[in-house]
Amino acid sequence: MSDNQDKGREDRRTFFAQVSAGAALLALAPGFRLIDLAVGKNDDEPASPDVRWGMFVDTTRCAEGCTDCVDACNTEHGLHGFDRPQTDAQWIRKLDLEDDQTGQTWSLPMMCQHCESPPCVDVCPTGASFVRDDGIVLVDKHTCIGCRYCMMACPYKARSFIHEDLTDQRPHSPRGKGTVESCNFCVHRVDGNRLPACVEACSDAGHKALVFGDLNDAESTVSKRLSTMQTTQVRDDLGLNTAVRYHGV
Amino acid sequence: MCALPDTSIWAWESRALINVRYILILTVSLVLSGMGVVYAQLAGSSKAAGLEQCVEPTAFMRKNHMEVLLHQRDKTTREGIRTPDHSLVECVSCHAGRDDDGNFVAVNAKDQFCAGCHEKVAVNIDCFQCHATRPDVEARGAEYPTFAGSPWRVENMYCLSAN
Repeated sequence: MSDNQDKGREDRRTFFAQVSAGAALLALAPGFRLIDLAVGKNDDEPASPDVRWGMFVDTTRCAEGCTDCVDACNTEHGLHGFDRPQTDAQWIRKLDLEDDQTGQTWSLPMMCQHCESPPCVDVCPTGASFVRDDGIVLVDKHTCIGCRYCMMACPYKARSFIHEDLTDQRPHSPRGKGTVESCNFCVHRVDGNRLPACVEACSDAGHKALVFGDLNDAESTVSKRLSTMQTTQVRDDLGLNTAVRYHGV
Repeated sequence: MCALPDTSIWAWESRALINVRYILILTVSLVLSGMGVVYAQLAGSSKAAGLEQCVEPTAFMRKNHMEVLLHQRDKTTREGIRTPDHSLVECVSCHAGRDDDGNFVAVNAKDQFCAGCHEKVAVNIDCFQCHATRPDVEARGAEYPTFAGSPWRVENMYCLSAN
């Protein structure tokens, strides 16, 4: 009887030890993802003006020919081509650059730079282009009339116009003919405290060239990188204060 | 007989030989029960078909779902509020029916949940020019076509400060 009781206690101890270990693992796994997204937001809370989402791109870790970020973006948002390269939608693309004189080469992803003062928002006649409170530049396709002024105004050629009827869009990424679209920092993921698809893919593949986080939080990984490493704003002469910063160009 | 004062719009009715109000009520209930049968046929295979009511009382949703969606649309797009109750994505994921093979059918396909009523009342909505008409199934990721990229854009990217 007594032996049985001891055995029962032992089983309970083992059980609780296993449960605690499991709980610790579970806590660690989401914690790992949340390091860069320390500013959690509940579904019923609006985007906070105290946050400014931004991205650090380490071009020295970005391999020529690698398109992991582009592929992840295309899958995440259901982007596909119509075999019309001049007009096919593109939210992020890889650029391979070469210095004519020295022969030095760079490879880097180019997408919406999520400017603090975006030219696309300045020129939009309907207010469809807007900056969300947390700094993400978006198109409200409900009010977009497809005039494409924003595409002409954007110095980064970041925006695309949808020319064809679309079907089978992803539920979290509505897209339709006659509207303009661009990288939205995977706003549906960010609202759910997840990283953008490109950052996740780059990290999962081991490149770790992209770091995403809150620029206003001095403790975030992205802020620490920006404060300790040389970075460039593309076309910094325009004074747009971009949220995407490149290291090594 | 009628407790309402003579100024009431129903006052004439008490004098009528046939009580029009009862005929109206009878007609409305017949129409509503008919619609109920149609609903049951349309959405029988959806998750919603097995639920007591929608996120609000059924009568309210029948009359006001468009206002609810319009309100939530701006909250989500502009402010990032993503409460599930009034979200179009949740409508679709709950109301989409399945075909005989168990695959989801688009909610705007003929006789499905959205189109069934909208066609009947001649309402032309454009939600589904952009929004998904079926719930997302993780496995469907493979169905999306691959994408070769746009060389034209790359060649025209001349304005990097690095150059």
